[in-house]
Amino acid sequence: MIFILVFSLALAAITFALVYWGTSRRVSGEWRRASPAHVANGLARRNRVVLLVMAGLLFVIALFEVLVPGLGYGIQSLQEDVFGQSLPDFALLEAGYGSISWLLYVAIWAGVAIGLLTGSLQGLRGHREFDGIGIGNLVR
Amino acid sequence: MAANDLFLITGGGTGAKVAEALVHLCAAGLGPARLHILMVDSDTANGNLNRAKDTILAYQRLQRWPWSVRASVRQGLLRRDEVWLDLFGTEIHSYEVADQIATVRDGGLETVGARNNDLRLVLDLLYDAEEQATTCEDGFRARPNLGCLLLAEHLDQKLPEKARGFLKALKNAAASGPDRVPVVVAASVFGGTGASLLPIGRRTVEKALGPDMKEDQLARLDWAAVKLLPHYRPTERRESVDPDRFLLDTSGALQFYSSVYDTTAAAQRYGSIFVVGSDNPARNPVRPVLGHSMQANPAYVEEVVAALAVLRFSDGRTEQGKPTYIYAAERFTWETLPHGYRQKAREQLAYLMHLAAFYLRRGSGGPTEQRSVGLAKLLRNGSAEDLVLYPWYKRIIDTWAEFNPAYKTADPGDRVRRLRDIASMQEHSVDAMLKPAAEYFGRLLLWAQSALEGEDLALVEHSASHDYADMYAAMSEVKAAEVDAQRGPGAEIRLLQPIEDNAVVRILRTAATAMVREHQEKSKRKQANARFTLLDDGRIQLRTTEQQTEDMLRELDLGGTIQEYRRTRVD
Repeated sequence: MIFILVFSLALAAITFALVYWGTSRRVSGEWRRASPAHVANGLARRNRVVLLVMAGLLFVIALFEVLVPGLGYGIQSLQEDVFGQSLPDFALLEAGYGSISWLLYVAIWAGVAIGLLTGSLQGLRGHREFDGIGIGNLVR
Repeated sequence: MAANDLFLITGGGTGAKVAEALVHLCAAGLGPARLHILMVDSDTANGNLNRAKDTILAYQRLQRWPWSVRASVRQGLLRRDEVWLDLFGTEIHSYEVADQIATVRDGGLETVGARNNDLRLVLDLLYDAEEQATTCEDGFRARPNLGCLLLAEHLDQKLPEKARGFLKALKNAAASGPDRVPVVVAASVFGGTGASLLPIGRRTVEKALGPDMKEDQLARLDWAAVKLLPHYRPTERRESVDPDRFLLDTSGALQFYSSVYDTTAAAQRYGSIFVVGSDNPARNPVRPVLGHSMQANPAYVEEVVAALAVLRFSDGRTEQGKPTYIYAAERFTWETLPHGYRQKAREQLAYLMHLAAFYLRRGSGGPTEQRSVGLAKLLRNGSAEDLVLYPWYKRIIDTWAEFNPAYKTADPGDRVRRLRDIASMQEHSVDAMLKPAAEYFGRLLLWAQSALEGEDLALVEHSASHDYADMYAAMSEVKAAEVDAQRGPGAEIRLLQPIEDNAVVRILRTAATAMVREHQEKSKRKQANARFTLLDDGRIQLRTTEQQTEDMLRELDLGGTIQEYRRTRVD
């Protein structure tokens, strides 16, 4: 279980760095004179798209995991190679030709989401006019 | 010692422009606690007189609200100083005697001569037939030789009736105030009404005060005269307005004043005389139009210098044994301005003008350019979503406005609409003060276009390459305590009650606080990309253009104001 957590946090950190850099760049560039609402809406739109696309992708992979023979085993085999162990039983959902590694997908999505939101917020720091933008404004 | 009450009597159009300049200096926080202005004119619809009156009205609409701010300024790792900025600190009362002179109305000097043979002989000696026949409806049309005679008689009749409030205030100040009550007569010496007023101003006012005024109270009135020599030049001769005669008229008037001075008792003379002239009147060209509302000449820096002289006298900063101060300059910079106000006047005016420019900046309005707009446009057209996300809105406006039940009980999404709505928030609403603030600030900036900016004037500049976008960030650091503390005339400090405030004024104070902090904190000033610069290369560099200001005024249905300042201007 620990490795899932560490993997998720690592994803979050990578996402954070990328998003922080991208957000700072936009705030200092094209959003130099934009209002807080415009910036918040822009970030929210981007974050929604990323999270929805991530969710969609993971859903498709999960679908293939149960529909395509061998793919499910291949994914689990990959997990053992990467993490040194397979997921515990409760983290798998038996279905179709394989099992859905739902916990892994949740961990991936959560890591990206955390990195996305914290990176967006931190990218706004140092620009006091955007201090009123909170997490709630970044995903609605 | 600075007096609490200052009395200013102005004559004619140029005198009205000195009053106008003084009002703007008072808005910048340079004036006394109370200013009483009596405007004398015989040109009943003089454009400059009306413009001065409108400026005073616009000022009064703002002055009734609280304007002190107390900025908390970091001066090191652990040290914070409190820096005060007091704008609109002067209570201004205005009065006028602008009735047409009866003799003029009835047919000129010759009607007086018709009744009195001896007087007719004197008049024939002094004035030609044309001069005696002229009715001088338009302010004596640059003929002081006529005005002095008639104005004295006119004021003896009209002052007790039309200037009752002014005289009462003067009596009260002399009876209850400190040792001296400064009274200044300001006018031009090359025109008509003003040149006529200068030698008789003191006498007629003291006569109007009445015999019941005690000697010791009368002695407290400290009189001064501010005389403006020719400092602008009409582009052509038009009837009796002949620019080639200005210096001759001035010479004649000054000689006349000398003779009056020599025959006047010492106790009746002006204690101090300030003379303001110009080495280059052609620097200020004017399109001549005769009298009435069309004669609204642009403001000039010489009138600002005259207003500074009035303040200097009010503050008691004249030198012993030096009754006359003469000033004329070819080039004006803040360093060469006289009367000892250079640093303070520059800084205070800079804050006021930046505030005005920030308020009235129209901006470009594109989807990613919302912060290029000024406060007026943001408050008027900005979406509720835009406003509520600014930290200063939450901290300074939202918590304050909750004193109003309609605002407090409104849904979060509806609060901005309530704040704007005069039906919900009454006099505390945005709508109540959006336009009045725009009118005063518009007048200030339009006035400054000719008074502080131009050829040989290194005082103020407009810049198209900068804006006030970063001010919104600076405002986001202001705390409510910095705008809630108010300082009275006696330097007593108290906290504002919510019902004493207005949304627009409160936001403007927030902006002013942010400006003070950005200017005063050394660490911020030194940054290469400083968010705000009060002075650039010694000048006030406004981060907007004249076009931006005028477009915003038109958008707010104040386009008519622009004409008052441009009508006779030659660009």
